[in-house]
Amino acid sequence: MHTVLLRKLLEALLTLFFATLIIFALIRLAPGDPVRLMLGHPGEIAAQGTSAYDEKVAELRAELGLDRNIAVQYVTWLGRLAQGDLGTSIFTGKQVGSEIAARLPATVTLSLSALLVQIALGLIFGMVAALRSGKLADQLIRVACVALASTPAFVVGLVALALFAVKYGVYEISSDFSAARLWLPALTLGVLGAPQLVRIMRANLLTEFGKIYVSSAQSRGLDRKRVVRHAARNALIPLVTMVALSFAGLIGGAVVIESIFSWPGIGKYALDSILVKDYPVIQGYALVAVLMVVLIHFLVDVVYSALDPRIHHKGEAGREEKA
Amino acid sequence: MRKLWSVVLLGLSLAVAGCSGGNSNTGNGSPASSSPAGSATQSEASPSPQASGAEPQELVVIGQEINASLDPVKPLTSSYLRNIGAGEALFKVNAGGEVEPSLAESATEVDPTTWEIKLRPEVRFWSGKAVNADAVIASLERSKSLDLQAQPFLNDLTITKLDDYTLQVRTNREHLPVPLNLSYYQTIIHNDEASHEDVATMDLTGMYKVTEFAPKQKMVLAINEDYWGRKPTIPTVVFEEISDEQTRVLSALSGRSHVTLNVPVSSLTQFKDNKEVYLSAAPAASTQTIYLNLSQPQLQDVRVRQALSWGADRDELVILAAEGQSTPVTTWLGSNPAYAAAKNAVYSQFDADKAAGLLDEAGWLKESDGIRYKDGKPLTVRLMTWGGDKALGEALQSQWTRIGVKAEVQHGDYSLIETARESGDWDASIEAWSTFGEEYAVLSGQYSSDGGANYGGYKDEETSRLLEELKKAGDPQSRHDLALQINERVAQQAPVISLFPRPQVTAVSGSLQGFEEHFRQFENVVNANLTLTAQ
Repeated sequence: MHTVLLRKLLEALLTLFFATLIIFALIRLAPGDPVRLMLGHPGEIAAQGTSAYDEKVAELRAELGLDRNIAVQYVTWLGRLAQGDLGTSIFTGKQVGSEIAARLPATVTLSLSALLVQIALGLIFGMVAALRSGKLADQLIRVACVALASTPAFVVGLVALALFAVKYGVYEISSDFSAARLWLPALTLGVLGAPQLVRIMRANLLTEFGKIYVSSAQSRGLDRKRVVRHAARNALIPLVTMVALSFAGLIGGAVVIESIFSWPGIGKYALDSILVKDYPVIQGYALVAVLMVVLIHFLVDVVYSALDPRIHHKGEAGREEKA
Repeated sequence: MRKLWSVVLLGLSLAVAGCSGGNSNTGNGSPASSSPAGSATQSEASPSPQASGAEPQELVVIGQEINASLDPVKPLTSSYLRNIGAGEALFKVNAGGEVEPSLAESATEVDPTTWEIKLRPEVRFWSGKAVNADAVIASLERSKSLDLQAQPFLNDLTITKLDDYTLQVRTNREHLPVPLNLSYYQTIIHNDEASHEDVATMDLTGMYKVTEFAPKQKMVLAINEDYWGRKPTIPTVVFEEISDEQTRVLSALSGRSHVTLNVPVSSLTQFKDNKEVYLSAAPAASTQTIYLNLSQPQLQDVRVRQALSWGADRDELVILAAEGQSTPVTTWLGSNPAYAAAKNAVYSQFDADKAAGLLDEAGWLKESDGIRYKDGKPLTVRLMTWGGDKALGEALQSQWTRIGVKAEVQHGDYSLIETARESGDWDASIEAWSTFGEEYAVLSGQYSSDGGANYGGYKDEETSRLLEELKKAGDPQSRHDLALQINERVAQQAPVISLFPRPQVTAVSGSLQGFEEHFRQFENVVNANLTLTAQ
């Protein structure tokens, strides 16, 4: 067990290392100079002679270390990361770590709420679709799932705002992080992510319904409700992975919804920073998002190994056979 | 299964509880809210209107962007501070384009290179410190050394103290309009001894004091009770950033925001039947301009450049790209209220035949595919656009294609344009610089060989000679005439093609009275005359 965990931990660390390389290189491949973007135009009125502007650009580039060799910049960044320092925002001059930490509660609250909506919708409609397989309810759920899965998030978000904020006046459009403002983005994000869970729940349940233990239980006259309950419990196990990955995706990928609803989380912070090529913030955000995914994958592996010893034993059996 | 539902319910409760704590909002019926980003928010205790029993009133202003910092010397911060009533300069420009005293009492031109500025003795910073000659000089010196954007307005000035409330300003050039230079937002007066990192310590002079700030998210302001001028009546101002343009429009339509800045022209139809919100579309003093790269072989011939200008139907462009919220201008200075004569100069009307004639003359002949060729090469123009200019680019593409130019629109991030300019691999791009300001500064930045906005490498002896004359010109009339001459010369040489003043649409709630339209709306929203009434 410990060997398996150690191997998984090493894999996670390796993934993180390669992620830092890719993140660092990709950001710098994108066109645009963060220093020039921060300084904006040389003035409200275009100045005659831009030497002062060019000098300031060079001075800031040196101050931020952007004039150094890219490999040196990378190593310096890694060195800071090792000390838990994500760097300083070029645009605001504030610590990226503390800025992300300050915005994380808003994103986590939104992601958790959206996840709960997803789970609730996934379980309910997945079960209904499986129990009514091939019938009208199943068809309707399928059509709704396809429609939602193929509609861009910004369209659903804007329609939701037009309905609830403008038409019915029950939602306030502002930039606050408040309970009163949570329900609509959470519902939107939850509804957008639910189709996947609905389809997986349906497929898993139908697989369980086809197994011998279900037909033997039914032939022995066991109550239908109890049979479904047993099957549902087994169908839930693969769903754990989906839910965990969905949560990781929500933490790092709620960018569009946070922007549309002006929700002050890390997604909006990242989007604003991407527009001004704020390297340290983009790197910090991407790293946190990757870290979340890696961590959640690792935890899922651990939970799986603990929940289902066959997975752990299968691994060992395989190695023994090879030996 | 029951356990699962319990977990789901518990999770929901925790999520709701997680964001329900915090300050109660002082707004009109606004739900309880905590400002965001936890520790990123700075706030100063301020008395609640509810506590005093007064009717709570707050003015909500929504912009595409708000400041990332409180320090006026950080890029663009001073424009937001002035816009929302927190910062003031020595002078200001009214909606008619005239310069008026603000923190200064008066200004007198003593001789061609010397001005005397009297300060108002009653003005105090929020901290109570006097805004005297020493404080003003220190503030302007700080802006000059730390804010790159302030340098064009301050570099030519040497400011000294005559007495506690009188400044002497010596200028490098004769008849420099010093009050105009000291009216720009980059010159707002701040206490140089204060730390502008925090709402509790920042020190300005405006009618509203910042009480809460979350960078690039929200700024809350309360009345400055010791304000030197007429005090405003609305107790609280909330300035929020909503970067998504459609969300901003919906915020205006929902009635939550009283002033919504930067309304995209593509959304104007959404306001058509709305009786509670009206649109203010004061034309901005900045011209949407196509900058041509004169180092590209096909654009080196002045006839090709002129043909592109004749071939642009500006009336149609205003309708297609600005939803009719602007007026055509044929030369660059046309968007400046003081140069109305420049609106229809040189390219008096759209003339496709003239454009075709010029291209024929230049040897670019139309072939069966409708495109013009010379030495087997097609006449191409790659037009780079960014932001909201995609529709403008596409309309131009269609118009130029009609005269046989193979036009291609490359729409993307502004950094792509910057990168292309650095490499020299570009044909044309669209930009809108301010045309309002001191004539020589404005025109030399665009058309002198080392002008910051002379992207295409325009170099013309006649233009340079006229610019030198303008630099030395003394009386306002000859400066005005010379500026018009330069403007016309440039239009004839066509290194740039001027189209129309950039549309500047603001949605204003019908419940707000006293809102003043301004050609520089982005820094002129809050004034002391604003009042709110129930709709």
